Amino acid sequence: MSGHPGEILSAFLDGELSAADQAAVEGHLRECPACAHELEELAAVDAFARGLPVPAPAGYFEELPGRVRARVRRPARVPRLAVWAAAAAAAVMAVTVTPLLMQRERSVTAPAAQSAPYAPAAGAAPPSTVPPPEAGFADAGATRDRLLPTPPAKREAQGRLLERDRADKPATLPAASALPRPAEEALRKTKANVGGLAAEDRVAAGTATTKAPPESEVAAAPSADARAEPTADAQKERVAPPPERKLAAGGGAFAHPDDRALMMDKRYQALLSRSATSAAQARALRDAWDLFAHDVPAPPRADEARVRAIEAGALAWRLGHDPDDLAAARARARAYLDAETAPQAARVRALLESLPPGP
Amino acid sequence: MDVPSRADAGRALEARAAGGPAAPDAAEAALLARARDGNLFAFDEIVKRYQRRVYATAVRIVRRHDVADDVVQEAFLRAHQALGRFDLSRPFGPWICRIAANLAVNHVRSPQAREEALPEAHAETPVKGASPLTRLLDTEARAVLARALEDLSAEQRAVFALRVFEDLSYKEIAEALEISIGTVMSRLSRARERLRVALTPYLGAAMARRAEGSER
Repeated sequence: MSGHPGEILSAFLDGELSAADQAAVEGHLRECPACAHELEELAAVDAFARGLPVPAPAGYFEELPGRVRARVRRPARVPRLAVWAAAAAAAVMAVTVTPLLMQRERSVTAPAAQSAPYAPAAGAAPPSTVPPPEAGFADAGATRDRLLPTPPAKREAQGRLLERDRADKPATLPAASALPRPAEEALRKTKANVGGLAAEDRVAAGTATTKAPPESEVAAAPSADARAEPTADAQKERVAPPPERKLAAGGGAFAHPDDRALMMDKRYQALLSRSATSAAQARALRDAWDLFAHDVPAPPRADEARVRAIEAGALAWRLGHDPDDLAAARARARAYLDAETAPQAARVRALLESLPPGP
Repeated sequence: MDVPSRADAGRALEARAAGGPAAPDAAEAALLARARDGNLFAFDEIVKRYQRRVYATAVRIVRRHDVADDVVQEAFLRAHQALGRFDLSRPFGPWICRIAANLAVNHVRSPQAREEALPEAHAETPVKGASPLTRLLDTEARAVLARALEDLSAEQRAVFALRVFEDLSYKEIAEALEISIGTVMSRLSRARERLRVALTPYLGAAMARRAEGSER
């Protein structure tokens, strides 16, 4: 190398030069103490920068997940029409069979909706698609606009994201006010009724009593909590304060770890003894096992919970013959078998083989 | 609250993830798969694992907490929306950091950007250990480095952050910021040179200490 490496010394430090250039710089460094010293200094700058602390206000990272959660919508992966049709059918049953019970239970689910305001599992209860408060959306849009003025067409990756945003919009559940009037009416009825139905299921499954359920129990019956759209007053209360605060303050599955640890054994035993006699109950049981697996990530119980969730999903299909349940159960069983560790592969494989062939 | 000096055992996973491009983790892939299927608990867990790292990437580029906060939220939102296209066999950390870096740079470039310096409290965080004189020098050097970083352009800071803190290759940085590899090379070189010049008075002592430490 004739001159000093200069600008490419930085790329040499990163090993980003071609083999020939890398060798040439190495040769130069052996003969030029000034450049060797400069290289050392560049490396020291990197090391120094890595040691620089990054400050964030106290409590920021405790609150952030809740705020992100408030802005995240469920991706439109499940055909909404089918899901809502199933929910509506369930609601009709609830209306005709148990109107009185429903009315009573709605008062039970109202506070639960506030303490555990978002739905956990994907294939779970359809009404977990209830959108977060409008304010969250408005804010999301505003922030996005502020961050991204108008991306040039050449920014392909970004363009794809925006495209995806647009594609998502019609597929996601629109705000009630944006729906045509009959649809709005049907939606309102469905939401309210399904809330009642879920509560009824919970009673039937022996997980809800007239006393306020403990935190873990609230979390273990997420379908009821998330889908309840109970009364006008309660609705107003949910919308009024800033959504982030409301969500962050909620207990639900985010109880203190010590408390949760104490509850785990009790929860596990309760889930083992819980049975399901309807598709809705089986789905609720599946969600409860999912939640348990989420809260207790350590084997062997987490593994047992995962397998039981798959079994409950299959049971939901057997009881309700909803093709979505079948597809979900099959997909979950396959995912379990595909995972690196599948301690109960034989059990899950047998279950998968017992189900009718899927897509 | 300092990101690199976190000691919370509960954040062990995140710490491991922050160590650079770690091998994809099967548990994490499973978590991401669940998040992709709409499981908000799983995505919540992902946010908890990566929030510090993503915040660090953002704040190193935009230099303001409130803007970094916007960037972090937006980055997670976009990651969530794009999970369907994310290859689960790849590590999530570099991906989300690239999204955040891209958003951060776009923000700083935008006319709405409010280019105000971060409060300098972080620059005065006392350095622990070593002798009082060393501590004083290091504390001063940190302040100098923080100022020098603020004097760089956002583009230079982005390249420097993705290379030095995220350990991305030039190719990955070029893709993330939609620039050529040559531009990555020259921006990084200029950024390092400016920082080196600013820090020169302190680097000699730091290097001597390091050499001493390695001899022992």
